[in-house]
Amino acid sequence: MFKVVLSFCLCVFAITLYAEQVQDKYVFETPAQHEQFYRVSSQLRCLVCQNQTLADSDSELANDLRTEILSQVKAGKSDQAIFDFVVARYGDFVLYNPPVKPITWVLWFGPMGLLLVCFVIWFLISTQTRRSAMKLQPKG
Amino acid sequence: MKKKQWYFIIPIILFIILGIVLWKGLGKNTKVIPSALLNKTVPEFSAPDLMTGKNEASLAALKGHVSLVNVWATWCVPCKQEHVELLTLKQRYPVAIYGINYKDKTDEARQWLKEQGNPYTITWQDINGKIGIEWGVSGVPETFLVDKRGVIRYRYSGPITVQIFQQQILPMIASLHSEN
Repeated sequence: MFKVVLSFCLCVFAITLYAEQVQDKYVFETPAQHEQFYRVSSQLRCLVCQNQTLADSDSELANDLRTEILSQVKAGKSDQAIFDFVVARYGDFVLYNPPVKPITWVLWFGPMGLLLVCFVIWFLISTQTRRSAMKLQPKG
Repeated sequence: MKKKQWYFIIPIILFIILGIVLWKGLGKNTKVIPSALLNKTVPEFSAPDLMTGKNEASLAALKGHVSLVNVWATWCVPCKQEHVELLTLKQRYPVAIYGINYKDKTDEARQWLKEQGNPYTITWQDINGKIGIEWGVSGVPETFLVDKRGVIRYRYSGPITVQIFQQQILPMIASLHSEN
């Protein structure tokens, strides 16, 4: 029984050796390029499979955008220049870190803001309770 | 009610506001994002026309009149029905329709237009999808409304029908026609 389980596990392991990362098929001239490519494409959202980054997604649009990003990386463009390129065409939604603009204030500050409001209210109510409790204590 | 008891109402009001905001979001199609190209000039490129093989410049072709630019492909199933609708639109309304043949096989696309009819004044060939990227295309079909100056004024995601055109696009075209 043990041998069966062991051989099964080894087979599964062997298969994973064939697994490719999506970007393994790209050829880079320097390690810095490889790093930049992966860094930029993992900070951009795939618009077809919206829960995946451009680095992970295997959709055709992601493939096309990776090709474009690769040529820009090789042309020596900065991270910001590449982000600007994609945002100009697809909007802020592609960024995993949306810029802090008035329209995204609710997104960035909303949760903490709400928490702060609740805390203030809790504080005010608890001091009110404390004050009325103190009034009931006999003086002396 | 005592003055300090007012504070209890604030979380309730916030909760109601939050509830309304989230309720409104329930019916939304989150797959479609708004076009980043609204009120920007169309991407400038030059690509061969599918039928003539001649290179056509985008801005030069689109300036001077109100047009629809339709992104389509033979591999796109909803595009087939949309094609019929576009032919009807072309007959009924004086609107110029241009096509971008997105990541398609040239021969099949040509054959399709020859057999089924061609509503497009020019069909730009976008073999590798680069033109699509310039337009911010994330799905097929998509249709853009372009004004006389070559500025994109509206983008519709999904297959256009005559009804959608009449309800959503026609009113806009009327006002665009009267612009300078």
